[in-house]
Amino acid sequence: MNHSPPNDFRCRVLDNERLTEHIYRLTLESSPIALGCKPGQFVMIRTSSSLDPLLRRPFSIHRVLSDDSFQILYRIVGKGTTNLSRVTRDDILAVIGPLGNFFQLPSARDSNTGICLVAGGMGVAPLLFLAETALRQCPRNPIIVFIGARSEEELVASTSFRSLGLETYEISDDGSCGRQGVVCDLFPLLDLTKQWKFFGCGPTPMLRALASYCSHSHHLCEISLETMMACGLGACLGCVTPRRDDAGYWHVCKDGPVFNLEVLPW
Amino acid sequence: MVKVDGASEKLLRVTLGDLILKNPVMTASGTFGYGQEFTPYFDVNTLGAIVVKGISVLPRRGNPPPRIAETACGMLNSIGLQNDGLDDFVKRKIPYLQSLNTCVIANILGDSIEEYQILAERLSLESAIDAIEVNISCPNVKHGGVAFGVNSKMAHEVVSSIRSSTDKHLMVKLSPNVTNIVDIAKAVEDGGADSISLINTLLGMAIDIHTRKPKLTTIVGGLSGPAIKPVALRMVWQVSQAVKLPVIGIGGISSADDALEFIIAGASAVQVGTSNLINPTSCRSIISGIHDYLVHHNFGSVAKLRSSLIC
Repeated sequence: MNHSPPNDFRCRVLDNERLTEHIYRLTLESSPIALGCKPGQFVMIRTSSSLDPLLRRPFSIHRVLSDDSFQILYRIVGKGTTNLSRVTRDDILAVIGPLGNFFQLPSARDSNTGICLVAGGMGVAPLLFLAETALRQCPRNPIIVFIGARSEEELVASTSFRSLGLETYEISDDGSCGRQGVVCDLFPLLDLTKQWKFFGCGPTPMLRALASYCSHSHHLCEISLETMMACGLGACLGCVTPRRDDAGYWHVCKDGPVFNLEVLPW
Repeated sequence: MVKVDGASEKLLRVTLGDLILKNPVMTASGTFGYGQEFTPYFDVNTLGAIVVKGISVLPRRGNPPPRIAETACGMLNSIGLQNDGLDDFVKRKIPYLQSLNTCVIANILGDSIEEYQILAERLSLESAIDAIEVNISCPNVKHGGVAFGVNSKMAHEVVSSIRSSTDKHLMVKLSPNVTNIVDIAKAVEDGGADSISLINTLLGMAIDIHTRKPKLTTIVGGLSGPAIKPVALRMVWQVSQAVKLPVIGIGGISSADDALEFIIAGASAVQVGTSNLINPTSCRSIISGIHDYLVHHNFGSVAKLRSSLIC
């Protein structure tokens, strides 16, 4: 299935589930987005019908639920997400998408390459969609999921991975989930007799640690980046991140949000 | 939606000196790329004009991130005039722009008068380009925001130098970060401009109180969006009364109502900028809203509404 060009949609809210005090899961109705998106892509949502907050907010697609519905996972961090937490079923939201590029899974013929998903905090959001897609497209490839967060409360999405039957390991800064540390501390659990491709998303220190691990052990790795965005369409040139070759900048909304580790300066 | 029939076309058509636009709505430089980013959302040929992202002689990579920050009803930017340079524009962007069926305006910027002249001369050779908008006002944020456009004498000099380098319609874009914008406007008119567009962004800043660092790497950046509209509108009104040239109004326009305020104040046309970033189809609804207002209030053309402020 090819991904669709983006468009500007009015999407009906099907659910806005409060998972924890700060973390919500929003379900939106849209067949063009549900049918046309690929894991790694994102949407830009207006969180106000007024002029403040002005800009749309970017959210990666967390899950495609059906042919006409998809979900985003978000944390309340400011004005926009506070507004979003107040929407209810049947409200209409302005949504642009699907935007950006997407993760490249190993070929189904290459079943010796394992798929290792590495999530830090809310970086877990795009990786569930990737996990479900991997189960469909790469049924014979081993899949392993590492999730790290500040506390057990924030590991709320782990159950979604487990219920797919995936080998999932969690770790938290405060040890409340049973393991204490950061997500890269879980890498010794990997069977290194196999070749793995890593897919990471999370805070910058986590991505640096992942980058360092993959560079040293020569693993392929793709990372999904998050930055401040104004348009999300490639017009304003606001969402840049440095390139490894120092030849200017990548635009996270157009050249990304998914990047091969080799093109980033880590 | 604007009905594409003869009556609607006549109602919305505007002339800016020698330039004829199908309607008074243009996109502002830096908010619409080179036209292609918006094709999934609407037919860009329905625009009165596209003003492309600013072009410099040599490529500029722009400022390090963070380059943008949201503010109340607005946003700050310090993109840093990122562009791929003149050669790339001519080779890689002109072919697409040539295929468009709307007015294409090339925005040019430079650090020196010579640079502006090189740009004007080269772009004069391109039939795809209908007009040149001269950016004398972008806050050069690395140099404290000082640019050609803050000084009447410099503004006059740069415009008259460019004037001698091209026969194309010359639209000069003014900075609001000046003591008296009317003085700059008159200097630019005297220097040979064919029209004047205003305003560019206002200088502003924002601070992250948790890190105590500025939200922009350059500390100071350009403020745009609805927050600046009252300032822009006032300046358009003042300049329209002081010059004979057509005036193009820019600043916080996000609806037809906003655009109409600028036209009533004296603008012959408007540019829509930040609003495109939020609603890619902004221009479409603004064009149709202007059309509906003219019909409803019995104005036979945009020109008849222009400068109709009662005071």
